[in-house]
Amino acid sequence: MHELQLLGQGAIALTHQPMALLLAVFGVMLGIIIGALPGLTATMGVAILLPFTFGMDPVTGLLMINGVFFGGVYGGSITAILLKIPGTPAAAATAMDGYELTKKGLAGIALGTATCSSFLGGTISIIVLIFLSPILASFALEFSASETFALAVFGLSIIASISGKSPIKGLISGFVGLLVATVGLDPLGGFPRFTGGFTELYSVPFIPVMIGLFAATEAFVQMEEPGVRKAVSMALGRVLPPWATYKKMLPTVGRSTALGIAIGIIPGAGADIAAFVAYNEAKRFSKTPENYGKGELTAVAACESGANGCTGGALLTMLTLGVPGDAVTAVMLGALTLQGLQPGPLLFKEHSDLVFTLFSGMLFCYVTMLILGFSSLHFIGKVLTMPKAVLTPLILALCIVGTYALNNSVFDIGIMLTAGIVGYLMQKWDFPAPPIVLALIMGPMAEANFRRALSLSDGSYDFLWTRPITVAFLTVAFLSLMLPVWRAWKERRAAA
Amino acid sequence: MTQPIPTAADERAITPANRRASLIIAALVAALAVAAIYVAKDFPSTGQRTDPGASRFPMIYGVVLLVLCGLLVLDTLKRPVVEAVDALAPAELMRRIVNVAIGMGLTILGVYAIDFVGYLPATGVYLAVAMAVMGFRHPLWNPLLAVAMTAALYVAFSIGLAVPLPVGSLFE
Repeated sequence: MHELQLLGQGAIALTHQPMALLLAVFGVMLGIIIGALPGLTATMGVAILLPFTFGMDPVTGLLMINGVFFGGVYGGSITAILLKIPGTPAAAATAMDGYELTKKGLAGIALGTATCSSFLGGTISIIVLIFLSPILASFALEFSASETFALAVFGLSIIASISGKSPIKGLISGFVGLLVATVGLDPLGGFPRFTGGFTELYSVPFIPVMIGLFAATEAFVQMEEPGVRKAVSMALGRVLPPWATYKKMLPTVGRSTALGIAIGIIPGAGADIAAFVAYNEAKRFSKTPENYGKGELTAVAACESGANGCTGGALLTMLTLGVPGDAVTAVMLGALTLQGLQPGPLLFKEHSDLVFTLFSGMLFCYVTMLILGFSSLHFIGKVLTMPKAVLTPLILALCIVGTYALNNSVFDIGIMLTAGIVGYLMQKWDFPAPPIVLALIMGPMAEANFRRALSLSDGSYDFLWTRPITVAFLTVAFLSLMLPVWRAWKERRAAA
Repeated sequence: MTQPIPTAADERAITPANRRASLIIAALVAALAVAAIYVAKDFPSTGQRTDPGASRFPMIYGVVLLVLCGLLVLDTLKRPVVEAVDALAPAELMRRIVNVAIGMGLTILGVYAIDFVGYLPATGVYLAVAMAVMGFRHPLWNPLLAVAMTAALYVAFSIGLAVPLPVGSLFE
């Protein structure tokens, strides 16, 4: 319980630093705004704030950055649920069921569930970071290219469960997504593939495609029937989920958080992957998997706790090994170094007072996020009472500006609009859009790591069956793909 | 364009329009896959003995897509065809298609205008026209709201988050 004592001392030290607390609150607030706006990511927010931390003491600077990180992951869920605009890639998973709940008039409960689950997922992940860092850090060291490839394959197997009514159409969407994911520079050779000479296509335009497929598509659907009076949905109503309802979701929240932490620890895997994996596992464990995709509250809880669980995991490897778990922690690693701190095992020994003050500050950030989240939901929710004729053009304008903000590129807006038009046609013909987004996240990760693993094993495919973690992931991926097929076969036999 | 399958007794049944659409989409995706394979075969090797090269993955995806398109065609042809019972009247269907086409066209024009005259005037006009097309035509509130929303987005992105919004090639 030495950690508990250090944490207590850290908390006391933090109370003597009001500026650090104030800037942590500011960071969380900014993070929520950045997360909610399409095109702006937590990475961008952290990068914007980084120069401001130069003159601050380490705790103040790092807490503000952490606030943006935590708020950014949570903020994406707000517009995903209310308007089907995933502010962050992780929120794309939340949008699938969250927006369906809004259409049913349950936006308040959905937002409340997302807030509670984000808080629980994030807080538990920080507690795990405090008490289990050394043990879990060794797990991260077991991950090389072959394990990361297997994780990506496992992630891709989720396509089967988010395919909607037709698995074939879902798989076609997924493989079109994988093909699109190969657009850009070859991950190993640097050769441009399918770019048509456009330098803007040198990296996969993932976020514009995601904004187009989700938000612009929905706006075009709304344009089918113009009308001034009709609001998109009713006002928020109750935001705090009833305890009896939320209690039933706790096992899912716990499981999703654990998955989020584990995925966060793996270098290169972030909150987006965690959210989709958590969604898939929640559906697999559910007694009513048929409700997923149609407005299932547990799905929202799973995605949000998974995505926020990732934060602690990503910080864990960054602090204990100096290996960033994702892009945000990579920027934070820079911030730590600029403050004259060298991440690694020695950080915990030589600067334990600072580290534990930081940990208590992280817990403070999550409490702040919970309070800010709940206190702003009713205000943010007023957007739903806007007439459709005003809200729909506003959504499209937000998509355009948000996409532009990503790279200051009008070309990206063109990609977003193209994805919106394609997404509209896909929706008309029952081709699901989420598999494309999933494939765009996992595709580059799968290809790059498979080729790296092959190089590391001197061209031998042995790594596919000789490494235990790889085998475990590939087996689960196979089962994930086969389970829906087996269920369908069983149902057909029962019907016959 | 058609509606999702209505209340048919057989859940596997599809409407003639859906059947036609599935076959056309399968053909288009197959053409995309063939084009991808054709282009990918010329991607250079990285020169490493152990690396399968830049073309391997796109080609695998292309081949799998071809197989999936074949499966979609087979599945579509095997399904019974029924007339949609709650299909929209042709006039209503056409009205919706026209509405969406106008919305898409207007948005494309708006983006083109942003590139040309810059964010502020283009977005203001785009929002006012789009709201009018959607049915919100109040002579005072329409332009006022358009200006307010344009300004709010400008404050959030340009001032708050230091995103340099386009000034337009006309004014550069």
